[in-house]
Amino acid sequence: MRQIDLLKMCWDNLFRRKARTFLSVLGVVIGCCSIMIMLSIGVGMTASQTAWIEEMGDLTVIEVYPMYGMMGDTTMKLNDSAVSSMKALENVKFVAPKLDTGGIWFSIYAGANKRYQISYAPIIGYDPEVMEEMGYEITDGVLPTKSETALMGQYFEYMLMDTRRPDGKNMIDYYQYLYDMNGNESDGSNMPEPYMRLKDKELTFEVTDENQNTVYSKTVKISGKVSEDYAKGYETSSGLIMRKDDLLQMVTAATKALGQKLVETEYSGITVKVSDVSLVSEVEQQIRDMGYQTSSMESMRESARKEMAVVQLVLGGIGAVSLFVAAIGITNTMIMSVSERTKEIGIMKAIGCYVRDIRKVFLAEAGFIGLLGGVIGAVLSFLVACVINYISGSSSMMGDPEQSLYEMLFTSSTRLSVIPLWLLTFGLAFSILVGLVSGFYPANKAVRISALEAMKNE
Amino acid sequence: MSPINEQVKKPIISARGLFKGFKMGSEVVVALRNINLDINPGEICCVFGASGSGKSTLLNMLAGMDPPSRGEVIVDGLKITSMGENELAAFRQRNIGFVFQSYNLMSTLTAVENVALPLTFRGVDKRSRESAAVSVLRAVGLGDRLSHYPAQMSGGQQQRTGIARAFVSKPKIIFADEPTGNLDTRTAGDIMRMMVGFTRKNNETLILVTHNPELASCADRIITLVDGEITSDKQTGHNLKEGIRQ
Repeated sequence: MRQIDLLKMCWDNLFRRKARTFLSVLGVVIGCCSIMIMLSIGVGMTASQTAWIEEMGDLTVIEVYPMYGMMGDTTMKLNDSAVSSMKALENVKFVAPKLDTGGIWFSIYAGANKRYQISYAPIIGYDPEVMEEMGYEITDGVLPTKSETALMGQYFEYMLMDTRRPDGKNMIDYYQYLYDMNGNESDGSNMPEPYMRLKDKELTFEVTDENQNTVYSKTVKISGKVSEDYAKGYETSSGLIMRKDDLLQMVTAATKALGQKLVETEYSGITVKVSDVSLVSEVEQQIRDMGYQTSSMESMRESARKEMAVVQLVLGGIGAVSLFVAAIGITNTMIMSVSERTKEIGIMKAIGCYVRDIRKVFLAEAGFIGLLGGVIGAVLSFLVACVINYISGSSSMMGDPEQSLYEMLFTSSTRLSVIPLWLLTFGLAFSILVGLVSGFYPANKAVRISALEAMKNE
Repeated sequence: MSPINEQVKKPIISARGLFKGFKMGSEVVVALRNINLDINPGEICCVFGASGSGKSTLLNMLAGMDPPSRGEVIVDGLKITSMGENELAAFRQRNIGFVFQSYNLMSTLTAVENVALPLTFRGVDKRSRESAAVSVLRAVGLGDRLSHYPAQMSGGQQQRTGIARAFVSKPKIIFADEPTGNLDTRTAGDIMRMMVGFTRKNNETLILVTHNPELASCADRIITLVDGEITSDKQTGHNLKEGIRQ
């Protein structure tokens, strides 16, 4: 038989039992919808979680920390040999150690006659060459690539204390301007002017001994300002970043001036940048095997992903139950139709219809119920997903009130229900498959009907 | 038989030692016992008998619809009793046409579509199969009923559609099981004449089952069955007369 004749025959059969076909299709529509919407919510949750993690930091970066022993001592030190062993790993793009001031306390002064003072600020030594790639955002000025320059954190200028003002009124409490009345982050337009703008100005670093005598002093020029990013460290908010070698030199000189013993340089952390996201967990495991503590967005994402997989499985399972019920419905419909058409099948066989064509007709009928249910189900799921996103998007506090309707329904990362193309394809294919599988038993039943049925007279 | 004779009168259907038994509870009911039969090409052959004599069972067996318990059937040189389902379907497509007592038309198809159905199963395209169906329907006098559904036609018209369906694929053998059983006497006569006429014209073989002696007398040869056995097998001489007339 030709395909077209086969399809026409199956269409005629379905059409002559409109009500029954409609109900079977409805079953598949409900099943397909429930499985797709359940999975889409799982996908949506995963997507918004991934977006949230990505917002927090670079996915290809591994932060390495020293390992502390039972007694609080450092068992695995982050020293230069640790840096070189990490550099030797495969697929590592670069290794950037972060140096802090260790035991040395620098007081910082600015302005004429040391009018402005900062009693404490985190000072970090880093490699300016990789800062751009690490995602440090310079909002003003340039990177501290020249010696004796430093980059300041976004709110560093508000750390200044005016020594000519009375206690309690000598600092600007900038925190109160960071958030508006509703607790949302403000755009910063209402921030007060700091006591002094520090860009291209010189700061004086001083170290004093126990008798308050200044034993070390150094001037450093501010090259620019970096945007606050807590994932990168507190120094991007209220501290300073300078060249690692510069800071090491200063710390060494100050240590000597204080008459203290020099110890081996230890880094507070090392940033390892991996060449590709997919290799992060592999490299991270290698570093852990060396004995260090690590954290990465990828490992966070990995554990989130495992959690989400369970959630999706549960949600998908709930949906699958209703599709299973629909499958039973299709089988029932087809069995009914086979027993109704016993004589017809007998006649078809008697006048020369191939067994395989009879099987095809019944499988096609069941498959068509699946296909029709799947198509309607997919369209309906899409609409339901839009409605869910509209309701959750317009009522959510998290949602950006200025996002357009299109963004709210289709692109926003906070969407509750996401139907990607694979889910659409999966829903459709699964419905057709359910139809075919449901039709298998009835089709075999039809095939076994003897041609002799045609000879029976009512 | 001499070789020359055999070539001339090589039977289109040969049945050898056919035996058919049904199990009814614990008893075995014998429907056919030791049937040996040769039917020649072009013959119009009537299997005559009372109901329960096994005549329909014999017909089904000769058409390959029902396998015998013992024995073999050879049609046109092919042993159909050892064929599988698919071979049988192909065999029926090529060689056999069926006329049923209760017409057995598809209620969802029009007259043309019903007649074209055997060609549809063969994979013939819509245009050629429907034009073939239309010409056969015209020949049976239903040129004005082409797009009628079975429910819109009388019994006689339905059976004529059934005949058109049996002849449309130009089969070698036509089987007819009580083809006039549901029709009134006058229509029955028309139907019978039509079948005989078609068979003669196309030089086909017709095997007909009936319990009506009047219809049986139209055949060239009447095989009488009683309790599953052939009790008489005689030529009526119609074919000889036809031969003389020609």
